[in-house]
Amino acid sequence: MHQIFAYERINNYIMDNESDEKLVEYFRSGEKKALEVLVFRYFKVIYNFCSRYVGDVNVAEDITQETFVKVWKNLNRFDTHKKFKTWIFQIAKNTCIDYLRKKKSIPFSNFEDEDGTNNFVDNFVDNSPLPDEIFIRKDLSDFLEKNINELPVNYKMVILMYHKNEFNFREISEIMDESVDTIKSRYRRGMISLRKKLNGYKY
Amino acid sequence: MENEYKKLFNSLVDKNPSDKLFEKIILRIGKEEKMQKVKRRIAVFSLFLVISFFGFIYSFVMVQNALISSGFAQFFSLIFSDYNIITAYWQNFVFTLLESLPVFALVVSLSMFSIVLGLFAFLVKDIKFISSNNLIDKKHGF
Repeated sequence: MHQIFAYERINNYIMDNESDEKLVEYFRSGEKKALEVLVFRYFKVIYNFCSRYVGDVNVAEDITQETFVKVWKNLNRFDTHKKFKTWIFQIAKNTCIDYLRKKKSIPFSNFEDEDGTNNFVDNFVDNSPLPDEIFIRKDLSDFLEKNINELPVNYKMVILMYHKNEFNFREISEIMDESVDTIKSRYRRGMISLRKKLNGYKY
Repeated sequence: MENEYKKLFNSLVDKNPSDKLFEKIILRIGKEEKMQKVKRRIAVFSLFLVISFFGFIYSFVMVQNALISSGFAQFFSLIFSDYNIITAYWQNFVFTLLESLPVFALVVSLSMFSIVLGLFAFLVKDIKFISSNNLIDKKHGF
């Protein structure tokens, strides 16, 4: 009996330290525990991605569940030469879009026309440091969240994936199914808009 | 500049989902796995049901023919035409009926009927399971 528990503990420890792609291979060879490890690794970050994308924490859990069901259904088709993290975020994004379509919400900002140009944003990039007052705010997280949520969803998600989820622009372009130039442009416009909001706030 | 943004976004606190979200996800995957198995079972049982239904029809026709060719049908009809004689010699009559009964054909037919009923019962149970889970999914908007 002790040997079985020791095997389980060692097996769990080995799995917890394996790469995502290795875990997918374990799952394909019959190790269901590998899927649980992957779910545990990503469920919080996917939950936060979904809640920010749809702007509703109440449905974020349902969307997160749906995302992982889709991951499980398609895991045998996943190409282990690609990055699992990018793939799961792609599924999460598509699941969010499906939800918003069913809800008949328009995920794009009214300030962004069909070309993707924003008439309210200058192309001038502010490279000056952020005001120090920002960093001493006790409610900095809520303050930042509020200002980020006011951005068009496409800008918001690019910025968050870049800074919070640590994707590079190429990975974000795969997730969003857009060209790298479009992603870079959205990032730039989004950061300009965010800077204006942060700089314009009276502390 | 990058360091400033890094410092800024590091202060953005992620929300915590409910304590049970991880379990809910695992249970949901388990449920989907079961649904998949049930759907496969429905497909296989439906095929067997169709085959066994035709088998039952064939065996029923076989029983009908056997009842006529063994003379059972003719003996049985004597109850209506010669009731008084039958009641007088009822024991012989019963033995005659039993002897002429096409047992093999009846056993085959009844077996096919049981199979059809059994498969139908399993199918109804599986279809009910699928429909109740689909209703729950619709409630959640998926």
